[in-house]
Amino acid sequence: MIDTPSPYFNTRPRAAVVLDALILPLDRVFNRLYGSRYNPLYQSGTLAVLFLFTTIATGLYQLIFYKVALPYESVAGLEAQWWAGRWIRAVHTYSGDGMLLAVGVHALRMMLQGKTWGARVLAWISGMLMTGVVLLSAWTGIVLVWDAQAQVVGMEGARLMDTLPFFSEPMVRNFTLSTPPPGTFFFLNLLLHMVFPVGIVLMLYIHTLRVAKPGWLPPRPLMAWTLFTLIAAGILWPLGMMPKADPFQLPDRVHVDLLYTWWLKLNSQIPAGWHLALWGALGLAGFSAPWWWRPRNRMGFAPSVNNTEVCTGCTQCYLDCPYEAITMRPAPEGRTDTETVAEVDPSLCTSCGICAGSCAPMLIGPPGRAGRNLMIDVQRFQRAKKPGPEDIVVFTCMQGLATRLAGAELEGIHVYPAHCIGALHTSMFEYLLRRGTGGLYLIGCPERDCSYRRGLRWITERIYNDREAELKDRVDKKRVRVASFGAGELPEALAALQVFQLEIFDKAHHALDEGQVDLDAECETVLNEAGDD
Amino acid sequence: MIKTLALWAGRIGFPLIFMVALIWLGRFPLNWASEDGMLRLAWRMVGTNIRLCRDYTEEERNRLPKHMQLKQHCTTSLLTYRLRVIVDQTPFLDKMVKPQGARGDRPLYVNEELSLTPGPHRIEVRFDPYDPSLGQPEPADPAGKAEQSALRVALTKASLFHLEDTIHIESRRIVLLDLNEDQKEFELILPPKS
Repeated sequence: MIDTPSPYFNTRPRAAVVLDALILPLDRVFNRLYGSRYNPLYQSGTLAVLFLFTTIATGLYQLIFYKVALPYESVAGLEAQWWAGRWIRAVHTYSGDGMLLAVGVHALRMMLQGKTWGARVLAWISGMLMTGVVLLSAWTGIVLVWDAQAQVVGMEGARLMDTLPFFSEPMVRNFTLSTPPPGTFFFLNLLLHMVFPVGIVLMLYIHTLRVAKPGWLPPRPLMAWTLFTLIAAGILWPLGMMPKADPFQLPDRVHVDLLYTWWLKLNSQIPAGWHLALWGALGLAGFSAPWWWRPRNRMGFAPSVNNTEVCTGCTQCYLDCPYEAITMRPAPEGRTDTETVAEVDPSLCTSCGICAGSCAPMLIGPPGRAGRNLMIDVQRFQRAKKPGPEDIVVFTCMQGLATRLAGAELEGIHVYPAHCIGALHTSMFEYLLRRGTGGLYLIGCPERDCSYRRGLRWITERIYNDREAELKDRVDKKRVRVASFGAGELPEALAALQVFQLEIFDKAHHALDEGQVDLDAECETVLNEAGDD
Repeated sequence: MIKTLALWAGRIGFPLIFMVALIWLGRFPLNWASEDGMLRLAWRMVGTNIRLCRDYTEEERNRLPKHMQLKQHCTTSLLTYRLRVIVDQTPFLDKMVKPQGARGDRPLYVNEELSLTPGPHRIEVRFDPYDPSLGQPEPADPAGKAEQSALRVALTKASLFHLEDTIHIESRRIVLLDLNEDQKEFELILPPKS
């Protein structure tokens, strides 16, 4: 119940409030513009992948024409190809920039949703590694052109690298000779510039390894719109050529890619060692986030457990788990009614509780949050709030709108906060409706903005499409509404609730309190244990 | 109607603003304020070996595999050099240049950049082997004496480099000073006429 301290909000890192203030208003604007499905901020991860694949595809075209012996001249040749090379080169650069921005937004979102620790450590660390490789790859790409920008970025980057103790020949020497660096230098750079993206794609696989059926690319309309924008920008604003690198010339005014080279002038302002230490500190802060950016109290996030002595082996929790943390194992000795039972791998479980909502006999789930526990809790809620025929009970995610909605204190609306909307058992809804509650409004987080995954999808399927652990036909499903609103969309959620409340007023005479509720046999046991009145 | 128009303006406007911002950030003009020119000292020198050998004791030799049982154990390192630059009779730089590598057996690399105002400058550059035993008492133990002797041999073989010249520095142009180890002399490389 809402009076119960949330295991998440009370323990979130304090800086999360700052991120909330930064991101939630933007989310709301983009949700209004594009809808939550196409919100580019929600899709930051998939957009980063789209940008990556675009840089790879456009890079492959440029590779055909690039000559390590004549780097500048070959790029100038590409730029002269008005029909292809010119805009392809621009798209390559713009998508590289877009990728870095998307990665930044994605990382911020993951922090905001607390996806840095526990079972998500692998994804976080691999994400940090990928970001590092993207930065290195960009450095090699900029140098390949061998223009004024390449000279400045190459030299300053090499100075930075030379502070590391493991180069037997200083890298900066490549840029201080009276002649351009040899072809072997550009060959090595080109090789690295090709190997790095391959490494990123491999790491992307590791990044999403612990997620069931990960979506790598954004929805098609967003993908098409993004590619169209990139190509249009490439055609309308080609990069052009800067002067060729001149070993006898100091920079005057050089156009640089600030997203990747914001650090350029630091070399002249602080010693290279300090500069490198700054990068080290940034890297350390990023890699160690799983240890400093996590709930102070992690008791509410214990992995799910299953009772294998009673598990029916129906496989529904195994099918629904969004993290592939559940496997079907041979049933224990003596069980003849089933061949397999579900087993949870605690190292993969994020404690979302979706399995609790999928288990008809209410066995599996995180400690204290299995279906049986939730049934007892909802009865207490019913007794305490006594929602009547004109009242609505709003089920919503703690990490979404729960605290904001509860704070609104609306008449006739009772808020029941859930760990995840998909973790709720449909028997809870049946119980409340049959005890005379007017209507139920389930608010899940937008699919790409969910602290977990698939909660909204599975609960919708269970209510309307008879997915296992379904809401029984004996209740009026018109009195149940499912919607999704982001944490920053309180006004929109309130408006939708008011409309639903009017509908419920009209149906109020249908809502009857049956008193003793006769749920399925399994539920009955629970209700009896709880001492239903 | 106005609401729909505003919605579409936002839908189209955002990617436009995003791309303009991306293009602007992707070609951000960065200015370097100084009008000075530069004297860049950049060279690689293989250097002079300090070869220190001593006889293995019988016990040490027996501990080695058969094919490695040589008479002597030798180590090789390189001499440290001292780089001094005087510009217009003002000392600009005085530093030790140590050989690269964890064991100090890799070549010596110099990469120094001296920012100079445009115009003529009298420069004097010295690159000499550094004798760490100067001012130190003679070692008494045999190992110390052998080290001293190896150092002396290396110092007598080592090349000395010296340049005194007047250079003309142009605004934002670089004069390069390289070192030709075979010819045992500095090479001043002036920028091509702009």
